[in-house]
Parts: sequence; structure tokens; C-alpha cells
Amino acid sequence: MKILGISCHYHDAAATLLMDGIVVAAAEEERFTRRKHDPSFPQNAVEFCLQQSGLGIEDIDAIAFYEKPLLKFERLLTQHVQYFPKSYAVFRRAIPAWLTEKLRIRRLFRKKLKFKGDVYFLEHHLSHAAGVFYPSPFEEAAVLTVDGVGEWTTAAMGMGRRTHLDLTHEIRFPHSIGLLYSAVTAYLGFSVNNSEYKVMGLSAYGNKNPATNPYYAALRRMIDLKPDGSFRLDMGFFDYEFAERMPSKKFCELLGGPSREPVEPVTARHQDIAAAVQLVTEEAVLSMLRHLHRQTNCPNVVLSGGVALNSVCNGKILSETDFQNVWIQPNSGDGGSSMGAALYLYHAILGQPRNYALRSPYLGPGFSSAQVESFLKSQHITYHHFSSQSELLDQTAQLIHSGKVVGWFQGRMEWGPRALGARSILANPCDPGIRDVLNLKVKHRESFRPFAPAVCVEDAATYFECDNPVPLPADFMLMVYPVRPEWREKLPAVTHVDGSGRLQTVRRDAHPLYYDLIRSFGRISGVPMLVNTSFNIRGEPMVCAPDQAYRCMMGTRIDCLVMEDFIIHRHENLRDAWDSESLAKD
Amino acid sequence: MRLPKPVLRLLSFLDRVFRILLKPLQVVSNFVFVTISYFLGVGLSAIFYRRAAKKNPQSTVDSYWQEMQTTPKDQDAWLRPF
Repeated sequence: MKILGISCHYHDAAATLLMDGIVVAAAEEERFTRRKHDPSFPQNAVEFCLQQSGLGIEDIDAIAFYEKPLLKFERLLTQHVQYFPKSYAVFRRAIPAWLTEKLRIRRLFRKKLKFKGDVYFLEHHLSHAAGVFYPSPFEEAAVLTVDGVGEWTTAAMGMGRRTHLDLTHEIRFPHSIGLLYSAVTAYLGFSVNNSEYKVMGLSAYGNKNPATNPYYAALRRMIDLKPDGSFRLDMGFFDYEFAERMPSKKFCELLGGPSREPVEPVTARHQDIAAAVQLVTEEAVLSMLRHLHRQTNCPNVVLSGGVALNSVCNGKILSETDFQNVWIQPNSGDGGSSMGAALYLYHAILGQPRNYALRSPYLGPGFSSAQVESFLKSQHITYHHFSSQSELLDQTAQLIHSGKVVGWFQGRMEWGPRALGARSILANPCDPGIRDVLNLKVKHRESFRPFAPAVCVEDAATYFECDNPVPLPADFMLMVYPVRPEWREKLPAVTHVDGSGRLQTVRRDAHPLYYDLIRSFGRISGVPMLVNTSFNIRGEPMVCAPDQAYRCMMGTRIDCLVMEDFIIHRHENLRDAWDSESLAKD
Repeated sequence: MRLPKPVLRLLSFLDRVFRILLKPLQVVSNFVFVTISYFLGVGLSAIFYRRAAKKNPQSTVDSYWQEMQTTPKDQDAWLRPF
């Protein structure tokens, strides 16, 4: 049975193809349209999924859509009724798109995909829950979903057992931890639904002591948090129910001034505010998890929704709750719901048994050596071909060790927002100057943002104070742990200001070439670890195809590109240089 | 019957003019339609909503978790967008 899962029209549109219960292809639309967090109908992502599996749309048995559009529309209308007449401007802007496209999903599938079969509609949080429970390694698990908002639900919990999945309790809009985090993100001058991870990175610089951080007390006035993790926001502090801005005037007054403009410098006050919202979020999520454990008494937990991308909070789950195992899927935001919708249809609605666990996040497009060579030749690019893999790895490890910044383009693209060794920029973690080079000359991003270390799974405990065994979500760069004190000075490029690191553990069975590269680098440097950051410049989605990778290298200070069996040096191909800094945006 | 070339050219010109004129017309009609819907539909509903809200003030509770419906749905329910 072939099922296509689709999510779109809010942010991070994506498509997933399920064949007899196994995910064979999945990708976000942004990688094809080159528009970050693209919410539009994922035409390109669907075409990729079909092409990858050699199918046509006529071979698809059913489509699963990740939410119930009419329920979402009902919520929007209720908001407008509640806030009449203040909501007029938003109503006027939003309604035409709902009437012409967002409410007519079935028609959209017929028109854009020529699909004539059944279309199933799942609730948003059920798609999130299914997207994390069914591909998890657990037969049974407690389930928690936390995000901005779906139809009405903003957080939900329940239990999954084999093919059954029940969400039993929920928190409803407008009360939302995700939207609280987004409101602070907007207040700090960053873009909503995009830059929440910047706030998480910034929080490490602020005062993490709730007793002495004044903004923690201020934020706690906005939220009534119960011991069971349930909460209610004081909506006087927020405008998002009826306007396009998120924090209200009262919110700004309580935090001591107007929102930061994006061009303004980040001050200690902003750092403390970021630390305060991180503290409140962790307090809420960990309370929810403790309550969920008391309710279910299950040793396993799976987490989904945008808030599950908060890797600082994730790193505390096993040490601060009674759960023994945790799993989070690499794309736990809305994009991942396309996978959840397809899996829920297959297992829960159609009653098919489970036969798949997501161990490899490499579900996107891949390009063969022949395709890469054909591109290089067509563009008259100077390159070096390596017929031996060990030579390629030795050469790459030498380049990284000599201080070069390397673009690494190998195999199928990652599923989710993190670069996991398929479309990565790699560098030497022991080089104290590499962080500034990457921030200012390659990525053009804020200097406060940390870089992630990639380490072979067997070595993780040597360098990090991590849970033992290392939880599987660390493979997807979803856990932050303290770097061991004796290694902090030796790993300046990947140790954040608070001594933490958002590590990626690498297993040989998931990506042998990447694993062997880390080992090769370890043999030369004595430290088997690499800096791993996404292969893009700020504001662009990660590169997907060879031409995008080459363009990105040529426009930045990336020194060379290792693409399948080829190494391309920037200094040998200087004629295409472009000004990437001028293109960097939020 | 095939129309003479000048007539075809004239029709094509008129088509282009109508397209250019229709776009702003569409914007204006959308604006009018949406505005009327808002003030009649949303506005009237808001009056009833506020009356009902006054009758049912919110009470303080120990937990804000709300129970979700867990009874199994039949397959047709999943085919509905609501």
C-alpha cells in the first residue's frame, strides 16, 4: 500500500511517501523552492517522493493530510468573533486565502496532483504524535506533543501501544508554550516560526538563576503554571489572537521597554530575557513530562511538535524526570507531521502492523557520482576525482586539520532542520579561530550562536556529560549536554559560553562515510570530532543539489567542497565568486 | 466560421484590457465582500458571544488539562475535513 503524507499552508510544507509501512522518501518543500520555511503546496516535494520510488500519482492509494482545515478555520473565526472589531485587519488579509485554497484541500490535490483517490484528514497534534510514536523504536510509549497551535490544541499527551495511539488530554488555544516562546522571540527582534533556536542559543549567555533573573519573575506573571505542567496564559500580555504582532503593550511594559529592532545590538538584558523564557519553557515541559510519567508509568517517552526541537530542554529529560528512554524524530515540527499523517492512516485507521523504525534521517534527494561529474563538466569546474574512498577521506581530514572549511555533500539529504552529515559544513573543533570564520565569513550569522560537534557514538561520553547510553535523538542533534570540563578549552569551536554542546552522535550503520571521516580526522588530530553546521548561508534553506552546493561554496569562505567522489577547491575556480553577505537575511 | 484578423486582434486587445481592469475590480469586490461579511457575520456573532461569556464566567481550577475524545472514529470520519 502506498500512502502520501502531506503538510502545508502554515509553515514548513513537506511530503512523505510510505510504502507498505516503510518511509521511502520525505522532504520539505523549501529545499526545492529555496524559500526558507516555505508553507506553499509541496508540489516539488511530492514529485521528488514519486520519482524516488519510481511511482506515478495513479499508483498512490491514499493521501493523508496533516490537519483538519475546517476545525482550524472554526478556531480562526472564533478568534475574530471574540476580538471584534479589533481583528478586522487580520480577517481581511487572511480570509481570501482560506476561501480560495486552504479550505479546498481535496480540490487542490485533484488540481495540482491529478489525484482522484481518498484523502484522509487527521488532527494536527495526532499527526505530530503519530510522527514520533510510530517510527520510534518503542512498542509502548507515553506521548507528549507541544507546539504553537494546530486546530485548537497547543499541547497534548497520551499513550501509544503497538498500532494504537490515543491522545487523552490537551491544552487549548490561546494558551500555548510555543506561542509564548515565539512572542519572546518577536520581542527580541527575531523572526517568528524561524528564529526560536536563536533565542535558545542566546539564553546560554543570560542569567539562568530563576531567583535572580528579574525577567523570569516577569514571565511567570504571564503564565499560571500548575504542578501537573498544565498552564494558562494571561492574554492581556499577548496580541496574537487578533493582530499580526505577538507581544502586547502590557508585555513590553512588564519587560521594561519596547521590542528590540533587528538592527539593534543584543545586550545583557536581551540575554537575560532569553534565559528567562528558556527557564519557563523547561519548567513547563518537564512538569508536563513528570505528570505524564505519573499517569502512564511507562519508561519510554516520545516528544513532538516545534517545542521538541528545543535541544537544551531535551537534554534534561532523562536526568530530571523518571523516564528511562526518550525518542524524538529529526523533523518534529510541522514538516514531520506529513510522516505522522501517513503512518497514522496506515497503522491506526487501516490497522496494518508496525514494521518500521526511523534510524536514518537521510530520506531526501541524493545524487550519484555520475550526476555530480556531469554537472562539474557542464560548468567547466576544476575538480579532483578520487576512486578510492580512503584516499578521499584522508585528503578531506587533512584539509580540515589544516584549518580549511569544507562543504560536505554526500548521499541523500537529511529530513528535518538539522544538517547531519549529508549537507554539512565541516571544520576543526580544536581551532580557536574557526568559530569566527564560520560565523562572519561563511554563515554571516550572529556571533552568539554556537556550533555543533559531531562525534562517533562510542566517544560521546569521553567528551560530554551525557546520559548513558546516549539517547537516540542525539543522532539527530536534538540533545544538548555539558562538555566535560577538561575538554572545554581544547574544543573552543563547539563549546558554548555555558560549557554546553549540541552534539550529534554518529553511528557507522547510519552514515559510514561520515563516521569514517570523523575517525580519519581523529587519527590526525587526536580528537575524533568535527564542527558540523548546516550547508547554507543565513536565511537560505540548506543546499539540496550539486549546483546549490557549488554556488554556496563559491560565494562564501568555504575552502573546498567534497561532493560524492570529488573534491573541488574554491581557489581553483575563482571566476564565479559572488557576495553572499549581501544575500544573508534572517 | 473563422473571424477576420482585425476582429481577432480587437478581441485579443479587449481581452487584455478586461484582464487589466478586472484585477483591481477583483481586489475591490473582495474588499467589499470580506468587509460586509466581517461586520455582519462576525459582528453579530460577537454580540451573542459576549452575552454568553458574561453568563459563564471562568472558574479557577487545579489543572488546565482538558480531556480529549478518545472513542474510536469510523473510517468515514477521517475522510471529513472537520
